[in-house]
Amino acid sequence: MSSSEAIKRMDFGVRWREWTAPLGFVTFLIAFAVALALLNPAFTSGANINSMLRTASISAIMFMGATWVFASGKIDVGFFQIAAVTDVLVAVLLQQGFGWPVACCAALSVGVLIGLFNGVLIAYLGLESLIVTLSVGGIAMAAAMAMGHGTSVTIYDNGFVGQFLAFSFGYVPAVALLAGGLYLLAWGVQEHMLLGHYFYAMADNERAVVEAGVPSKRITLILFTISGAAASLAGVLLAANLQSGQPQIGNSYFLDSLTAILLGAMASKRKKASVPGTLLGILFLVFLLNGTTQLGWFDWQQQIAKGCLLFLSTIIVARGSLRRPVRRAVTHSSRNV
Amino acid sequence: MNRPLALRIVAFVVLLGLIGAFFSLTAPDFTSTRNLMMILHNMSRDGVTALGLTFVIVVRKADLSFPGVTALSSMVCGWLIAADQPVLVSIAGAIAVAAVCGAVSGGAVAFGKLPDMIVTIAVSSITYGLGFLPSMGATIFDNFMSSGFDDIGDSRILGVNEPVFIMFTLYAVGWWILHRTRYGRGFYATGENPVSARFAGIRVRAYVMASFVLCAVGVAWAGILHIAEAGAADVTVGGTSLLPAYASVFLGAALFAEASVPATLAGTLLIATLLNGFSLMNMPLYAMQAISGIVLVLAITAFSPSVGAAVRGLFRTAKEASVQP
Repeated sequence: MSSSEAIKRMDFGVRWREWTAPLGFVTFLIAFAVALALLNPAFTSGANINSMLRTASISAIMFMGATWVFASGKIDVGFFQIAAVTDVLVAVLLQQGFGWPVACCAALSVGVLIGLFNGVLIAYLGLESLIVTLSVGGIAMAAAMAMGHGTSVTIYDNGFVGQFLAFSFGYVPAVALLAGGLYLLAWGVQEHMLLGHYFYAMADNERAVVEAGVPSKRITLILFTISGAAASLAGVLLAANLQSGQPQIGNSYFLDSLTAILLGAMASKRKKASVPGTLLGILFLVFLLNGTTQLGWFDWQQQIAKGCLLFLSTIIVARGSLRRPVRRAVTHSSRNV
Repeated sequence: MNRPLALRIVAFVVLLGLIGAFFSLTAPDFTSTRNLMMILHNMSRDGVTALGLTFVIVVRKADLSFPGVTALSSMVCGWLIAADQPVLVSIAGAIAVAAVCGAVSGGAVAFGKLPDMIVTIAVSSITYGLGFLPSMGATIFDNFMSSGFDDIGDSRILGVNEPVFIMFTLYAVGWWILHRTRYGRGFYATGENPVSARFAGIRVRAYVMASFVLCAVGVAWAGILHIAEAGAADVTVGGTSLLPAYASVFLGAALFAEASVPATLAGTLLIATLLNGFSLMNMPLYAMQAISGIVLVLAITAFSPSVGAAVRGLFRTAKEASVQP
């Protein structure tokens, strides 16, 4: 009786700290935005906020599945190439005269299929996720290049996806609401459904989780499929946003995705990848890139900055999970009560 | 998975023969001496990268910093040559820079206990950015011809290109270190079980760091050969070397049961032959990524323990079915 009360109290404490822990990062994010706005007033112009939110939303949708893959202790370094290949696929299908609905369905099913393929190889054949996603990503990029004959494919009619992307409620684009809704849903799944508890547990000790009767293979399959589906949805949005299919667009998301996920993990109490954390990480990166571009930074300077950020957040995440093994264990046991 | 070595060598020769037969039928120039030398020439670049990567794979880590390290080290090499430095000094400078990069990622992984993939991606990004510093991102080609740097790919020893000669020397040295010295056992022990290796008195962290340094040096050497051949140093050099190198190491490891120097040599030979054959068939450059990727997936799938068990299970049921009637 008393022990369960103690757990409840601890649970409350843990939950409270989980809620308050990201506040530091959120404060920093706001301070950073204010500083950028002071340095350059154009930063807070309506058009700029609108475009930043649109960029952030597309990235957010693309990185959603990969965040969970990362949280489950595996890695996906190919999902951005899935976005690239679906982006080009949409453009090519439109050029062939198929409409947007057909192109969207084809792109989403290709994304799901690639995700399933990754998942089967990793979950059921027990292959290393890095190697599988690296090679499948390479194949996807080559397929994108082949479909576009090595260059970009122009889209002349933006269709309903284009209208959706262009639509805004004031400063807030409609796609931000879509991304926000998806993240809210994902957050609910991550915090309150068994799936979320299971994949976090898998990162800690997959064998123990299997022994406990959790279908870890099926969960891995689901996670990689979600990653493929999310990336292909982002690919469709990218096609309408760029008005073209860009075969090499994936490469630019490689570093950003990991940096956003790790920054998010750094911000959270548990020092683990999570969907709200990734959202914060993406916002920070978008502020950083947009602000520094307006200040006249070159791409290579941003690359160095992003690399340093990734390094720094990795150090903090690794320190966090090394130094507090006991408290981490409590967090997990209380999550499953 | 305890097939004897002879069988594995036969499997490798058969595979190479099949690939060779396929290409000599589809691409007439394939068996010409010039083309076979070309395969060796390509191997001399990618092979050294794969050799370095072998050490990292043996300690069960991953290095994804190839693009950045190649960019930085080749830009440094080009910059030194443009600044009228002797060729050997320039090469040494580039390799030293790469060794520092490898030491940073290796040190962070080994001593900082940071996750290998993320650290190397971060290092790749930082070094790629730093690669812009020597020339602010402009292509460097000053003095490349007059210093004789362009010729390092063409000079010959005993009728073979110098880089090919160097590659085989490096492979021999690598084989000797990894398979004939106690240091080699140290690398394998570190990969198998770092905890027990540590209790056996092996300096696990030093081995992990050393493997990253060796890998970065191999990557830098490949980059140097690349810019010498191209006649200009550019930051985009080496953006595509990652997948072929992984494919070589894992294909070799799949054929010969574990990652080793001879296995990597076999894997590199197979991959170089495949890529050469497909390029003779006028496949575009990006198709090489796909081919490397497909080979990598096929190799690890075909030799994964669960597929092996399934195949053995099939054989067993077939045998039982044939005995039963």
